[in-house]
Amino acid sequence: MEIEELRYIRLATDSLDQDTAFACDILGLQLADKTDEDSYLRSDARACSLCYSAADKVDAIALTVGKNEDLADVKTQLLSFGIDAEPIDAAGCTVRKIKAGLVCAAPNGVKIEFVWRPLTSGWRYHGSRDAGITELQSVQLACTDIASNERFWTEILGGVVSDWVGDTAYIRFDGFHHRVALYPSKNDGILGVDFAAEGINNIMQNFYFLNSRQVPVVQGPGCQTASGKMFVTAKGPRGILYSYSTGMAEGAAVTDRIARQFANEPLSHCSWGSETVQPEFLGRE
Amino acid sequence: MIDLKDITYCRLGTKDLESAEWFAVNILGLEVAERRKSALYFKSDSRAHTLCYFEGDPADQATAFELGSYADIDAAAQTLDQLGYKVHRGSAAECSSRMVRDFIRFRDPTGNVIEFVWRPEMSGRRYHGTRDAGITGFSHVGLCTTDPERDEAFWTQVCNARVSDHIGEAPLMRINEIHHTIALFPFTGPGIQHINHQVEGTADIQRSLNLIREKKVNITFGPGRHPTSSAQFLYFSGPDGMTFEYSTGVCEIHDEPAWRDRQFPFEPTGFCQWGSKPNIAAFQD
Repeated sequence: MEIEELRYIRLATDSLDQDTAFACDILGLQLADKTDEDSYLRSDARACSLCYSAADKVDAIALTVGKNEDLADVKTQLLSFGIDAEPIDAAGCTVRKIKAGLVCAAPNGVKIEFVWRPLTSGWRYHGSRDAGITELQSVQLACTDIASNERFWTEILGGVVSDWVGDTAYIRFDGFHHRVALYPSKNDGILGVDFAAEGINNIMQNFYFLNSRQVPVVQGPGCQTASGKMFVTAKGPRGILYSYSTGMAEGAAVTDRIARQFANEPLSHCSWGSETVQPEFLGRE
Repeated sequence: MIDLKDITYCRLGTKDLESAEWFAVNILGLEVAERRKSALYFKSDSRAHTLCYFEGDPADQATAFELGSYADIDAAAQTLDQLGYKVHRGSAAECSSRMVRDFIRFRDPTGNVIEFVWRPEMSGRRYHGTRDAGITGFSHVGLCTTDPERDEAFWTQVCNARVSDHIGEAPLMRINEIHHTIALFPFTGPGIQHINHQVEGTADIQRSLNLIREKKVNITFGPGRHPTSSAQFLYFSGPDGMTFEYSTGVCEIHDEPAWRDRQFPFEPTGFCQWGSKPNIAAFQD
């Protein structure tokens, strides 16, 4: 089975307006569409890359497939591993701005939506402030059972491990170092959402912007040891982490080598030695 | 016209040579090149030394520039003498303590001690810092000025410096392709305002930030990026209140006739395009 891309993140919320304000005023995303239940936020050409939903109870990650038939293949593949997948009904497809879809649960409880023909906007992305965001880049997942989550993303969904830090696994689906990062954790669910930014100027400007707005910076400015991406990570509503990053390794430097094992220590998460108290980035389990 | 080829060294008096050494080695990352009676010589690049701490008054400071020939030293002495500057010709012992063949010393219009030297000693031994600070060399100084217009005229008309940019009244001046080697900052009296070492890259700035912070050294500005030279920087306090800077990525000016100096505001945005704010007296109103 072929996963084409990490498409969007849907986050359940009890405070839609507040969260939407955070995404626009702090993160700098563009509010593209808003209903009573959903806020659709853009970070790039997609009609939506982050959606806050007051209707959803469980967070979801969408993965794009290339053809309608692929959805059936995904269903078969999942079933062969004993995982049930349900089609997304017409109303659900409308809400998600997709043509068709299929949903299952990942071992850490997050819903995985396989989507076909997700909507792209014909309009250029224009963020609410100049945060330099270029795209939704990756998602970080917290896992109480790291082994079964790694198995789900690799053996079952076809991702490849680019590197490990301790048991933290960086999973790729395309030429980029990772689209999904799995962290051993005391919790299950979505740990963070990572947006790519143009360059280091944006990372640093966002760092000082976050400070000026007294948004807690969880880590950074830093440089992720395995992927080489420079980042700054802040804590948003519901404790979900939001990162800006730039310079993630890609291409032959990633795909033409075997996965590397890094030591289970803070310097393996940030080669610049930036401080953090976030347990997932401390290299302790 | 006195033709300055390069900046050579700084000499700093201190009442506590031991603390100065600890800082230079453990924080700054320089290498002890030589120990003499009451003086310590530090390497930062292929030169025999670029910084000397000697037992004395911390107000006793000197900045040295290299001239191209012995004849130039004579000519410079004559020029300065004619302009009414009191010129001191270095004795053999003084030359030896500076590791140069010949030099003259005088005070610039503000009163900063300046030395013009001939044949400063190179080293056959590669610089190898005590810690991996990524230093590539001693690069520039900021000097205090009590009258920026008068002092700018001295450096640009008596000497060969050219103004690359202004921040408020402060001129950033070049004597070669590097954006600036001498910068003048308005202040109440003479003194070296800051000493700059170049480092290899972004990671060196950021790693040093975390190391320096961990060692409880006072970080006074940055990490940031100068909109003037495009250099990424970090300023911190050293012995006797001296400000040290690491920077990387300073731009070069190769097309002399085409370059036009620009005026930047004397406020945080004129010093940093990332949003950091200086806590350095000479950078504040």
